[in-house]
Amino acid sequence: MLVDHAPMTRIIRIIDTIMIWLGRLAMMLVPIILVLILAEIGYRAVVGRSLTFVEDLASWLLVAVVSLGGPPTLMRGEFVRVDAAYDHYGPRAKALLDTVLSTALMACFLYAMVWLGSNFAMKSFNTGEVSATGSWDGPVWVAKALIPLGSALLGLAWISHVLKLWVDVRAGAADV
Amino acid sequence: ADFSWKMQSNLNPGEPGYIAAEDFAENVNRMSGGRIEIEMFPGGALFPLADGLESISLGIADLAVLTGGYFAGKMGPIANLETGVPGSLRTPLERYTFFYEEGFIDVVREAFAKQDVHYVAPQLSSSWDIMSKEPITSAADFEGLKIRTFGLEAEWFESLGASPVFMGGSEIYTALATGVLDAARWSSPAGNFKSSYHEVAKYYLSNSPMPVPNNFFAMNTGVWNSLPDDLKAVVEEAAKLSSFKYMSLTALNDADALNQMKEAGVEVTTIPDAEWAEMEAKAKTLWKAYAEEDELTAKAVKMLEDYMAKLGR
Amino acid sequence: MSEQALLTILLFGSMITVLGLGVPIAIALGGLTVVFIHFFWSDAAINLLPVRSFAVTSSFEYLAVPLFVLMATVLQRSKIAEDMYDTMQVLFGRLRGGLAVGTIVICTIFAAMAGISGAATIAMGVIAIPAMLARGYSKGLAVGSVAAGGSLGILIPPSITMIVYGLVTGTSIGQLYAGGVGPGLLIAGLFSLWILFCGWRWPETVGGIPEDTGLPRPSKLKALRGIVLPFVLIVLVLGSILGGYASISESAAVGAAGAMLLAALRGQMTGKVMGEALQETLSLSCMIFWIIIGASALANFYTAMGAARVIEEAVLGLDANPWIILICMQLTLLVMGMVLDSTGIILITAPIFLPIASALGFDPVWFGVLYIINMEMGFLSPPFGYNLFYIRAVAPKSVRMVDIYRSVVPFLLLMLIALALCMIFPGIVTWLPDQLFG
Ligand code: NA
Ligand code: NA
Repeated sequence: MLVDHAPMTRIIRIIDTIMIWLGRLAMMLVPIILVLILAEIGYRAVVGRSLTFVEDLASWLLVAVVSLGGPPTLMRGEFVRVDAAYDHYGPRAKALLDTVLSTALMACFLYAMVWLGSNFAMKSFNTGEVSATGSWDGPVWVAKALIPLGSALLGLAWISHVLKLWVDVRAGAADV
Repeated sequence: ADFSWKMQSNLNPGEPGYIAAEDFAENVNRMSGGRIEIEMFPGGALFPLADGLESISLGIADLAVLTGGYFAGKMGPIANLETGVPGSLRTPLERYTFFYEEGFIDVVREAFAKQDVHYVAPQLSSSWDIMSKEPITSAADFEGLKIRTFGLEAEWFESLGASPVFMGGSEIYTALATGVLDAARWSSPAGNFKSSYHEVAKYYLSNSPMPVPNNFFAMNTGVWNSLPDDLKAVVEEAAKLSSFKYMSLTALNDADALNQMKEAGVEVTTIPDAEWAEMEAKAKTLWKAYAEEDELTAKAVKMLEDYMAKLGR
Repeated sequence: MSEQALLTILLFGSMITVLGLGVPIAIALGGLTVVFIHFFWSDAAINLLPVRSFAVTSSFEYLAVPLFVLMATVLQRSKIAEDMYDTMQVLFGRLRGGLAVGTIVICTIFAAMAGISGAATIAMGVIAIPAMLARGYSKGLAVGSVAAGGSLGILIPPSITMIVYGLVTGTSIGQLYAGGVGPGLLIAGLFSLWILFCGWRWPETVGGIPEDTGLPRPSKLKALRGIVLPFVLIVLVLGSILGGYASISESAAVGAAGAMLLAALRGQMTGKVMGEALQETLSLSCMIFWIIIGASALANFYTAMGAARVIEEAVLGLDANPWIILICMQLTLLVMGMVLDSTGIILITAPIFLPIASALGFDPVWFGVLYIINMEMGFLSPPFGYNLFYIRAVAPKSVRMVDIYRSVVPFLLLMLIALALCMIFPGIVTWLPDQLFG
């Protein structure tokens, strides 16, 4: 059977490129968190006051790191599994497991995270929610919106992952 | 039962506020002739406390005890006024009267309705006090004080020269122990004792910045609307009773906790009345300024000022 | 059988099945939680997933995770970690198993710098596992010692888990902190003895019997340099906490910045090192946080379904000798530790267990420390244990999940022995608190 899987590889390539850039972006947020916390420690030690926005801002950046960094991590196949049985599967069994069972669970998870998560972020946006500490007017909705956004991108990374599994299956079949 | 609800407290089992909420649940069941059953959960078991408004409005739980001050970022300063502000009312009965006789509860209900939450009733609680590593005996002692607090109090202490630090409950103990914090504004003697702060902060300020704060019973609007009038009345009256349960438990527990802390080497310090009154006047200017923020808050500030005038303050 | 008991079997049965088949853990937990909430609770309650995930990822306490991981990856990429292991090889090379014992010692020190278990485990996993594997250690010992040593983080103060326990039960946090020191050192000691025993009995598991290569050994003084830098780092981090400069979460930033500074002093803080370190930090942190999101939502669901009642029935149904009840409580915690995360277990069981324990006349601090040891074992016990997943992410691909499961078994048994010792000789726990709090 001759099948052209060029469209599949093209989709994979597009998604993976997005993920690589997303990963670079998320990665750069970690040193920013570091600098913020050091600034807070230093400011307290030297000036004797607290940089009151740091706790919020650093936490929200962590939301960004996790939301935006999750999809590229999934794309790289670094979401851990219990591999006791999995290691013994052939390419087709692996592809079937992830296409059927994992995708079904992923869909349920993403329904909650993307659909209900958007609603959660919209509530924050509509009420103009700012930091609860009362120390500054940082908009919370930005951080909250990262949850559905990151989850949607996680779904995108998952599509690329599943497509790759089938490319592997076909490559294996072609070898035979 | 016709209705069975899940309810989250803001506290852990065994604490006075939790017992007062259990008392509410039992009363609702009894007064409704068993038509309503409520299952209680500790703080954070069903949803994180800071997301209480969304969680109730989305229906994760039917009912909860929440703390208004946490939601100032969502609702503006009306949330602080709901919890209570320093330099205003001094006794639980003053607060009760303010809510139920002066009509403050209607203003608050309007504010929470905007968040899609039904405000059932306040749950008057025991005081929120300051414990410190060095004695605090005058306003001057706030100069340079690294104190854990938030909201209006943070502004207030800052105006006295203090440096407010924002910190989650799980970090306060260790921060006091190592000196990241000089002081923390947390709970009443019973709550502070339970959090072990007397082990790491040996001074208890007897002047309370928040002598009569309150939490409140929040209910999912849909669930509330589905109730017949008689059951609505049951829920409201049981919630009122809960405040009294809380106050009486406080009377039983706080003195005992303070004595145990004293035995553990805690000293009670006091800022002289005249000086404290000056400090409270500063706090009053701060919350009066809230009136500029929005119409509803302006109404609430006016209401509080009028009531204080009636009280001669 | 009660409705909750049935649900318990169904929930954990499907969790074990789905995980066992090999669905990525984060996806399995998140997806299952949504399915179960839909069928057993209400569709409105599915909202708790985004709410929980925001709370988890925006909590200041967890900021220590990426920062400590960054510290470890910088130490590893800049070869500071490797030099440290070379030095340990020179110093303890004649002691079969010396490197693994050294790893346990470093884990113990790390436990005194971090309030959570994850940070120490991942950091030590990044540093120690490759170092030990490279020197011929068996997978079992290299992986097991790090997974087990890393779990000491919540038993040796400071400890966020003890604070959660203290707040839920009203137990003195200072006494819990003091009470954790003895058992923490006991467990570290047992781990070390076990490793030395393995080295003596099965030399091949610790890289074989050291042979004299005939080459001149570097002088011990010269070798000591490899340990100076890591030592400086430890002093920096501990000093920032004890000096009152940084809270326990903030001190992780001191560690990360310190590691970069040391690498720079050695001229190794290149763009490549930094890039690789950040990349690895991102992967490890994200993998973990997405698991935590699913796990905390699942524990949340189980709590809401009245899990406390199952436990209550199980324990209160016993009309037995106090010690039997105590042991049954420990067994319950052990079983729950296999499938749930520790914060969830504390919320469900602590309010039930502590009143029972005090009614039976047991000391609350002592009981609390036993409780924390159980939580610590939960980090290790298969199938669901954070430390197992952290190690899986950190270790080379050749280390499979089964290897990790197998590797932790002896260490879990050692912790059980320590638990039994603490029950038989309460003084191991209570001596220090008694000295400090009279
Ligand atoms: Na620790
Ligand atoms: Na486990």
